Amino acid sequence: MRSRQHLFSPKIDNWLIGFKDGADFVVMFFKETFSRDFEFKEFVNQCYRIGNSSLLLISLTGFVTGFVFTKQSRPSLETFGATSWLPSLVTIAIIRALAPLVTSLICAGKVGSSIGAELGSMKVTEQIDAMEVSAVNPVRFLVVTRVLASTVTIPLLSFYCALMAMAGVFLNVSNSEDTSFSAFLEQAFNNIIFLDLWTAIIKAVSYGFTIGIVGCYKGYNASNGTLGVGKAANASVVMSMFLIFIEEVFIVQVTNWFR
Amino acid sequence: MANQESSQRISAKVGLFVVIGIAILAASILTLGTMRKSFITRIDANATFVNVNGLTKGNNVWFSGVKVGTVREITFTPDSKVRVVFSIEEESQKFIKKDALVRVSSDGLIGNPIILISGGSPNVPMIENGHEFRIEKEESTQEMMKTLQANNKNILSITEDLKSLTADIRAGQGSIGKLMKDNVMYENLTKSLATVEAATKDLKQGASGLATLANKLNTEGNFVNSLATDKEIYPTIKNTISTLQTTSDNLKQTSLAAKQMVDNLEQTSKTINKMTTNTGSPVGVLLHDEKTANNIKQTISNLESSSSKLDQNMDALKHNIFFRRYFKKKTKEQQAKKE
Repeated sequence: MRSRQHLFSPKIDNWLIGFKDGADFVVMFFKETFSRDFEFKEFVNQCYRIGNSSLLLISLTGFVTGFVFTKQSRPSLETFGATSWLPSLVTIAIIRALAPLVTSLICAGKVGSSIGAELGSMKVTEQIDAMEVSAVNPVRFLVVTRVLASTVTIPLLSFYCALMAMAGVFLNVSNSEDTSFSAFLEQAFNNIIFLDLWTAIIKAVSYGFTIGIVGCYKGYNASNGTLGVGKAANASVVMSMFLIFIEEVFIVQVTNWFR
Repeated sequence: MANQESSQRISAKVGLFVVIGIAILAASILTLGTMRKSFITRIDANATFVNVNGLTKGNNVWFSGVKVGTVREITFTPDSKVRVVFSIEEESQKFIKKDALVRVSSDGLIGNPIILISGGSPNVPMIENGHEFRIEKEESTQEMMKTLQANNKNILSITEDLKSLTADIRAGQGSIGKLMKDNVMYENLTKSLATVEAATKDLKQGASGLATLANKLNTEGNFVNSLATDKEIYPTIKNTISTLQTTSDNLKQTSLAAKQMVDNLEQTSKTINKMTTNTGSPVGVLLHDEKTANNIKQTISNLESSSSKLDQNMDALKHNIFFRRYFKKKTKEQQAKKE
């Protein structure tokens, strides 16, 4: 006979309670975001940390992504004698999907784990409790600033990544077809519409919010000492990446309604 | 303890609702895109093809380049043909007529296969649910290749002709070849062109002169301009022309009379000539017979002598007593007439 103290079973109940806690955390974030006394200085500081720490990595990854994607796509298009479509094809892929996705995956690894570990260590060393005791709202100071910083910075990094990827595409196309820069730009942006840019912005904002909120949630709820800090950092990365791919599916579905 | 357990149950319930809510939202987003088309009323239509060229369930149905439906079902018939059932939106039904034809085509050169509805007469009723379309003659890839092959042959033939033509030109044959190779012809042509150029210049100058003349004629006060524009001078000119016409007619009549006179003179001259040349006629005898001429001379001499003597006789008669009275009377009458 099943115990009456659980709704289903202890494991399922805990999984469901985790969902409820996550929803509570999101609601709490929005409540604190639209409350007074926004920590603007800390927000700017977090923006700088997130952007600066990921810049070099995103530059390299974006460039390589564009270069390799172009190189890999060429043989397929050569079959139809349509290599002139390469700039247009790869640009659409980069703007619509690759740039936001690559940027957010890198940031999930670097920024998400960093936030999770930082807040986790603060939690297990009771620094957050100390903040509460000293009348500082830890959610407003630690969570809101980090989540908003990642939500704002990751779209910017995403466009920077797209720019670097386009540089990689141009290098490859220029080497193979002797295409001039102006001709490349003409071909590349010929089929880009405003909706593509909006799709990229919506994706990047969603991914940025997800990375920030998951990192903060996992770090804020860390337990069991230093082991819990490692788990929080790891869970932040895994959960962020998983949610990013889920969101990708839904955002593509929604934006396709408007095409 | 009991409160804590109860609280955990409530949290689990809330979590369950959150999960269900997220699941419903996700399911809605994923299905809403296709659901949008689910609310549209459709009718079914059929067509039986020999070959559907890779057509699959879900491929589009186009009418006049507009998507009007999708392929719903593809099955084989007992005679090994392919029966395709496709749905058509009710909105488009009224535009598709019963005599419209269908064929399997392609969405672009390398695109997906589609069913293409085309044709249809305006006075024929629209299709109904379960309508069986007639098949338009399908142009398979092989037939297209055949057409392309024929085109290739034509192109080959044309290029061979061009090759032959250019070879002739290179060899200096034909008008163009001679023009390109023959220096004399080239020089002649150059001279001709120079002449044409000079003529053109002259024409240009002539045109310029004409233009100047026209300008002058258009200037007010000019004689011709006055002729053309002055209304008073016109009747005078008309009268003058009429008088000239009359004069001309008179001159013509005079000329005719003069001609007739000249003809008469000529005739007379001829007659005289004939008479003078004829030695039998009196004039001919007078002109040509020396003896007669001498006789006439003698006669004339005699006549002169007789005349002189007659004068003397007449003078003698004036002084004659019988005739003196008559002559005096005659003299008096003449003097009276003079006075």
